[in-house]
Amino acid sequence: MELVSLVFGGLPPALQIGGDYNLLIQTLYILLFFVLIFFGQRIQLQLILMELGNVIGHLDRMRRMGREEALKKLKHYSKNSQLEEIFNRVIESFVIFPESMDPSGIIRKLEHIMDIRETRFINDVKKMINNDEVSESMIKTMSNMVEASMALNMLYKIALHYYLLAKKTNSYFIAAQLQMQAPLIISFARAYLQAVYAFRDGAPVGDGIGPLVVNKFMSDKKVVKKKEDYVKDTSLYEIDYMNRRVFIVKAKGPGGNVGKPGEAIKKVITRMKKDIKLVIMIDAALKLEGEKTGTIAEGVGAAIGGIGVEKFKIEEIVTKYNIPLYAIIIKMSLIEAISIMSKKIASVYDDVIKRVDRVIKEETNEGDAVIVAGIGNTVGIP
Amino acid sequence: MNIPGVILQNNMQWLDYLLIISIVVAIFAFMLGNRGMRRANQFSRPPEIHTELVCSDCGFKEIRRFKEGDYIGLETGEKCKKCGGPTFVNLIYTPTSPLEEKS
Repeated sequence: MELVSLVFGGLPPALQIGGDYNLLIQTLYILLFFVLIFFGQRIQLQLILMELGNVIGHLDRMRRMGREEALKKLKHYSKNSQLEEIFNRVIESFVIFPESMDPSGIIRKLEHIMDIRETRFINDVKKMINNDEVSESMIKTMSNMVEASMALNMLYKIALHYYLLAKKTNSYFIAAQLQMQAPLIISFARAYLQAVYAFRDGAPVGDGIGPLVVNKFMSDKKVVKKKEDYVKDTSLYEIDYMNRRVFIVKAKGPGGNVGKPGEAIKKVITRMKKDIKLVIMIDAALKLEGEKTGTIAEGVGAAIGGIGVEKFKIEEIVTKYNIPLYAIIIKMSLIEAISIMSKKIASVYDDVIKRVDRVIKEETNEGDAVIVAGIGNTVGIP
Repeated sequence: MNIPGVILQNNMQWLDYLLIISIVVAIFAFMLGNRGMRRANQFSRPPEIHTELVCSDCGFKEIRRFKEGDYIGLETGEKCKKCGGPTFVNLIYTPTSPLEEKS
């Protein structure tokens, strides 16, 4: 017995004349042909919108998860009944970047705006918690957590904006553009959600490999001088190593903090001038697809991310005093950089230290002074 | 319908094939979709965190689950299981990174 007849209970008798369905099938095909010509793009738009609906739903779930996790952590320490109200206000806050039509002095303006933003953000988190027993480093870690939650919220809002715009205007091209970027958007959202978890727990993130390396580098050496707040949120250590003065720069941990390593390097060089014979920067860097996580590479230049203020300061000062600037990077994906440090990344610190040793030996002489800067977030790394 | 080069025994037979193929394709699409969602949900879960403790005296390594307040270099107050010496946090990491993307 034929399956179609079974499923549909047989065709109407009128269609079985002569047992031949050529005319019906051909008519259907011709109709389908015209339907696809005239409505093909609309059908495709509806299919894309259906797919984007799922993406938006997934982003919304991640956004809510991030928000709930952040609020749960804040509530655990908070003594403020208006916590949620402040949280909602902070999460919708924004930064207006300075005008760049006349780029002269823009770095100074940018730094000023970002400083204000950071101070305000930290103060808002302090208001949310309103508890003097919570340490400064915990406040910093929690402010990082709120920032990650903010990023999730922003991703969702931008994706939703284009989804609704495509729906409203019936624009296939807006929908197609969003569809093309959807895998990247989802990947960023996952990364930020993982960052919320990392900062909630106060565990080191992949980006912390730079501070981890310098922490391990000095752990078995005698620290001659130590300045916890050499510049804002940044520490400076001086060690005597291989008969060289080695200055270690890193953000102040173990709270979530990136500090101002550029400012610290500038201050050391301004004080020591040409006595500094080499600057080595150690940082996490984004890998290309196909490269393995934890691969170490050496190069020259300022290995530092962010908006560019710290990078500018370092480049400016080393150029002024003609000091060689070396970079050692540890490669990882964006997700790995802002989520809890994986074993693959954590276990490379020993190899990086060997490279730092080798570069110091090869490029400097006894009696020289060297700066080694571990760049990155110091959550979980003192 | 006459398809060149294909002799059908019965006019309805190709519709049977079409229906079977459609069902198979729909099942595969559903399975693939579900796999994608499972993968997505996996990424949304918090990862397991391990703390590696090292004995300051004998260098013995021990791995335990991460506790809130752990940070690298922290002297935990926990005794070494081998010699009873003091331990400190050497590393904190997630052992299996579900975040690793295909490369």
